[in-house]
Amino acid sequence: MLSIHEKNSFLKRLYPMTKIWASLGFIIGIFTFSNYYISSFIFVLALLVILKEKMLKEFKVLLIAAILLGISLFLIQGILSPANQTVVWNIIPGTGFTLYKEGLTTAADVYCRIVPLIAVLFLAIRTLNMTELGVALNKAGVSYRASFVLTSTFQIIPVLNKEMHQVMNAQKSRGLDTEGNLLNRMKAFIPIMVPLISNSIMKVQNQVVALESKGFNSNAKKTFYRDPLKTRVDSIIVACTTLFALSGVAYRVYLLVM
Amino acid sequence: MEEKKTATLNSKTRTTYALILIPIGIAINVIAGLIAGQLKLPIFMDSIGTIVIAAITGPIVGGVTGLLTNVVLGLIHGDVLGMAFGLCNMASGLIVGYMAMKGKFKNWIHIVIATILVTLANSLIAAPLVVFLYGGVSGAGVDLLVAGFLAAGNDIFSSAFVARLPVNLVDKGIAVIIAFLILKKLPTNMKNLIPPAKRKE
Repeated sequence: MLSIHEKNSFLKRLYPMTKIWASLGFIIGIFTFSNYYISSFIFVLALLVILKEKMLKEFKVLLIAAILLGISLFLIQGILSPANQTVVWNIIPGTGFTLYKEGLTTAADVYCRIVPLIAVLFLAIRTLNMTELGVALNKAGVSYRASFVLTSTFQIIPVLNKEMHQVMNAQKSRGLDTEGNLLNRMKAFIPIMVPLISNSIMKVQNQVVALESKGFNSNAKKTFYRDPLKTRVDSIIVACTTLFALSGVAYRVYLLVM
Repeated sequence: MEEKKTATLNSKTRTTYALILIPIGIAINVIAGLIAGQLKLPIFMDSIGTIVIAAITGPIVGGVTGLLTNVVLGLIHGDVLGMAFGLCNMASGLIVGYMAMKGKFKNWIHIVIATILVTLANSLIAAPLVVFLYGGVSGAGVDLLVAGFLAAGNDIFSSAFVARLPVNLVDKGIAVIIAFLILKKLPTNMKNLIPPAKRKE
């Protein structure tokens, strides 16, 4: 579920922190501008990059989720928003099934913020290598203990996922019913969860000993196995997104003052 | 006896324990969500790990676990707006961790109080986030309830808040109960890693 792309593409070669700062810049910029044209331009641009990187297959899931969210957002806000006054379209005449202008505008405002962000952040994150991010964070001044938490989380999840399948199969072979009505499935949750969690917590002591014996708490300078490089392109991208975010903030302030 | 055992842990080793327990808590949260998906349960189940870790190690580590869980989930699914809901998960960790630190996570009455507090905190934090980020609609099953309350004439904020109460009550109630069951089964030297100076037995 968390496959690491080892393809050698342009996005893949970017320095990890560049992606983090760029994502932050895009979040601030899109939220402060809240402009339909800027949002759709960014969305189309991100979609083109996704196509070029051949990641459309993974993005499809998110796209469908975004479309579903859009439908429910426009229907609920358009029909039920308390600010509704101007009728746009009476879908079924004679009933309360009417779309109003005010609700639809609110929904469009929210939706034009969400959709480009989903695309941009998907790009930034799916090409991020967590180990390299840990190294980059460490170099940027985050303590190695904190970056250890991040990288080891991404190593533990697949291990625990495998253990979950083992526990599930073991309990099924003992006659655990994982199908049928809701109550049955609800009851199946506990015999899977309890051994899984108590197993992994009991192993903590061994892990502490292993880490201590490898000098986790020693104060000597640590070296890195993976060492990502920062290039000129990284600085340009960070500068561009910072400019975008700053102009967004300036635009908001200008609107407030005027 | 137990007091002595934990007292021999020096502060550095205790930090190492916490640093290993945080990833495990996050992984438990992620996997529990997966299991809930595989069993086709209509609940998120993303706070069991937070509550177990909080009950073992106290509010700070529990809160960090909760906050990071949503960051990690966001990184996995590529859905960064969802990271904001880490604040809810952090509140669960803080509340349970604080109760455990005061020795108030021991019997069924404490469980009920914890469930109610966690539910209230989660709904109170989630409602403004949902209204601000998604316009009140989160694309989950709760939306139907929100629509119902909106149709009954409530404003969007109180609808988003009230609709989350029953859903969170079931979700967090199960999470707290499972965490409590697991806690009872752990060996005594793993049950409590909160520094003895802060603990009130």
